[in-house]
Amino acid sequence: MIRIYRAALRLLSSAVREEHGETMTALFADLLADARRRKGTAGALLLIVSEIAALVRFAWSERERSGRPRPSVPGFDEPPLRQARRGREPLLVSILQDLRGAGRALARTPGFTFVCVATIALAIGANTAIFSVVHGVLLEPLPYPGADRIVVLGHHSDGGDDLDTTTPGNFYDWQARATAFESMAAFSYTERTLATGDDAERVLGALVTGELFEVLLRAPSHGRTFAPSDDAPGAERVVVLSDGLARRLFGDPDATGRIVSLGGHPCTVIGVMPPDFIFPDYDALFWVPARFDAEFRNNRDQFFLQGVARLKDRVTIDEARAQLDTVMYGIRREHPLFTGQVGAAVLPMKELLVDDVRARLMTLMSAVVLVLLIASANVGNLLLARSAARRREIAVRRALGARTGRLIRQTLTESLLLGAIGGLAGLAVGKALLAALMAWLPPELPRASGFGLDPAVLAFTSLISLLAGLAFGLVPAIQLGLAPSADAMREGVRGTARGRRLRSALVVSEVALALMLLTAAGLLVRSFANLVRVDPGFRPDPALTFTVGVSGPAYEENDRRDAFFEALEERLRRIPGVEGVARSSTLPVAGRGTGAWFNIIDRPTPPGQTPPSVPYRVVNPDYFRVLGIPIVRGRSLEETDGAEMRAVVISESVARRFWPGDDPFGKRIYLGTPDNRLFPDGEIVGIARDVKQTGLAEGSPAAVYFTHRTRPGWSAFMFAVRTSGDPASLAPAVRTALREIDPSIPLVRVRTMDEVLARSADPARVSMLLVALFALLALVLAVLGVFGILSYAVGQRRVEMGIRMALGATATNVRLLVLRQGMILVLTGVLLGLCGALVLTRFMESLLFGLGPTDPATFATVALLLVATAALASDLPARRATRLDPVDVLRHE
Amino acid sequence: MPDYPRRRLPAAHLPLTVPVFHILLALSDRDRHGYAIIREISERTGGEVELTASTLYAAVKRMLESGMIEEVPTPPEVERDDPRRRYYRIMPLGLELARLETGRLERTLKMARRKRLVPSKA
Repeated sequence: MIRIYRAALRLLSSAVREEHGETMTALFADLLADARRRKGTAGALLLIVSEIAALVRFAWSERERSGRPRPSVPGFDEPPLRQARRGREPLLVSILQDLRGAGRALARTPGFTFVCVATIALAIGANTAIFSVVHGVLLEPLPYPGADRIVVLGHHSDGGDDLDTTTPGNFYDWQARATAFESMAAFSYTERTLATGDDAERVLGALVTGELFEVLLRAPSHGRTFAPSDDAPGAERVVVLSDGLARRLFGDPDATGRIVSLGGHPCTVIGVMPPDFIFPDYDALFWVPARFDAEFRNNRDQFFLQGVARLKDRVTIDEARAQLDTVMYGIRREHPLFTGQVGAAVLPMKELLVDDVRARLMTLMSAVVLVLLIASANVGNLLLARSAARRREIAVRRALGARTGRLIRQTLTESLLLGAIGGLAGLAVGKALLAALMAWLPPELPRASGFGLDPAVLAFTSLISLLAGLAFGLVPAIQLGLAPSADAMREGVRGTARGRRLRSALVVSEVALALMLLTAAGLLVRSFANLVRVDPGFRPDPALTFTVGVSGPAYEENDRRDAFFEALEERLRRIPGVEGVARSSTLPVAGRGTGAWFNIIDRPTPPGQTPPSVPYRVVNPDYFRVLGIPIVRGRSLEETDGAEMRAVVISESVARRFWPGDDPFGKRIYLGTPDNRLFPDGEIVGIARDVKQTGLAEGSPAAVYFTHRTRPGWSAFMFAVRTSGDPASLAPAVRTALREIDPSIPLVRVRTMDEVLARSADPARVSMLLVALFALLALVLAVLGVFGILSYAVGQRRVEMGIRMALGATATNVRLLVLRQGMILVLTGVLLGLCGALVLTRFMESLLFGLGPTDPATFATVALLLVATAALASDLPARRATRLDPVDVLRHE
Repeated sequence: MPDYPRRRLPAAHLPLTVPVFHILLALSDRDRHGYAIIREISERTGGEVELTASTLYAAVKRMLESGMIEEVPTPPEVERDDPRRRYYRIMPLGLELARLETGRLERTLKMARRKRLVPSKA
């Protein structure tokens, strides 16, 4: 900032600068520090703006007093001859003059200026808002020192780019053997019951190994983080809290030494992290040490840990990956049973966090850039029209000696000034838009609470304002440079063919760009429609869903857990209006759920290979009936299926995968590893229809169902309570029922089934609405462009029309003439736009659901929509043309 | 021809501009440097008048030229000050102008009171 001020001081004459420059700079530095302290960056920005304005006044008044004639702006209010006689002005002075002239010119035509500024402001505002989000989510480094060296470790998953979790055994081997990493830790999400006075809630946190904070290199704001002894088996239970949770619980971020009850165990708070600390994401509110015992540290079949590590200096991620692969090769040889085909994977941490939203954000960003291009084309067109109207004036000046270069600079200054004002207004628009966006964004967006208008965003906005100003100013400027003055004098105010072609080209490109954006929006709208119409595989009738989990000393034994859930289920069933109660370890659409190795007894896995992992669900026998999941063949689960006869129901896709064309009934299977089975072995009794498990857009993954009697002691269930009335009204009764059984257990994620389904479509909904909004804006701008050029053309061709009508052309003839001119432009634009859209929409493939990126119906609909709207817009000037009175027109010319 | 400073009667300077008048007031009790002047004005007016560095020096330059104020060496009791800071002292012309301006404002206020534009003093 000080540098800016020092540069601006050059506005003053060298004498004044020598006398006062240093002192003024020092004073400015003091004031700047003051402003920062009192009002932050905004205050500093305000200060520099008012300082420069004051400096300009200072320079101006000095110039006046020094006795020289007050310089006025060439090309506007000074006779060109005098201007030509005077020598070259110093650059800064003449720029200042240009600015003043531009300001006056804009002020003279307030309507024109308003339309231009509003157009630019809307486009720049949209860009600013979306860029803020992109910057916050994709570009800004994670809040750890040297964040680009932090990587996450895991295994390759079968299909996707996702990173699969690993086992404690593998993790500790990696930690001991891989040398590419400075430090390495592991974590896993954990949800615990937090007792707060009489009440209890479930909070999300992370179970971490002791080295986590060494990897992230972040210090606590109060207390300490974990020492190795905290992570030892049997160590005293300690916890590090997030700033937010500490404030909420104790009203004070310094909670060191306080006791919180987590999962029924008292834990000592040893530290609190600063407010900006997040790990692994915003949802995690506390961190507890893993405290694995020696045996569990060797476990090779529980895949639930994610590694996180800091690369050594000068080690690339590829080298680290290669090394971990080698380590994994050794582990596979030592433990062939458990690690048959799994390889190691290393990803930058950031990629893991933002991978899913990248495509969505980039689509939005492209959409707003298109809007900006269209807006620039529109303003460029307006400027062209205006410079055409000023042609004769400019030609006269030029003839009298004004230099072309100076005139071009004047035009450019004007458009840059427009861009700057539009940018400032756009900043305000962007801020408002961002606020609206924040309230509206799906909470799942990674790091969503972290963004705002920061210096990088301001820089981006200034840059695009400048570029936009240049873009739409260049066209009239070039035209100005090319037009020989004699032509202009002769032609008077009528435009040249070249001017018309330029304007037509701009309108054609506007239409093409708008079509591209409309096509993208159309595809997203149809995708969304497909998504909400998708068959989830179950009957989404009115139901209330919620989660209940038990933990702590009172529920150490399996019997106690099972008794609790059975009592709760029974009590829920007795609530008036309840038609059925389903419970499952994971409800449909709520997520993939836990998976385990799928072993078929009479088909043993060859040595050195691992059996495929299949997600499973612990359910109650009523599950299929209450959720309306049809049993395709065989029978459903029954109350009697328990310890004696361990019945298992598999989904259609499991049946297809393991017994293609064969009958799975009576086949015996078990889940888990040979020495750690979920249940001894079970018999397949039925096949259920596939259900969307992870979300509406995802496929229907395989699922194996069995009851809580087959696998006793499950500690957390999701419930779906079906009712004839309004499901939301059931919540109080459910709460009472739970409180009657055990008041210390919280009810979590209480939502109606409708909400659950809507949330699954949320990210698609938001990007669809935003792109549609921007497309609408583009459509309006493009149509205005078409309307503008035709109105202008009708004005230009008045004489021609008058002659035609005098020679017998009917009103319809004239109307068609204008319409034809408009439609040629529109159709050319549409054709070009279709080509552009074919290229553009290919990048959206991952966002589309149930249709391809070249969906012909969407393309046709959008093209028709655009042509129809543009035809309406063309008809207005066309009708005006028919109302011309030939006599009147010809007399006036 | 050399440019002789124009000698003007004190009253020819009136009315004073807002920055000039406030700078004179700020210097009326003691010598101050630019930053101190801005702070004093801001505090005295409750933030109503906030001068920028450029406004201040535009005024200071003219005030120096017309002899309302003069630059003085940094007072000895001030230690370890930024050497770029310069101290200014009010001159007799400045004091007289401040008094004249105050009188002018008083008369203006009286006129406004007579027209019942503002309530008269109790």
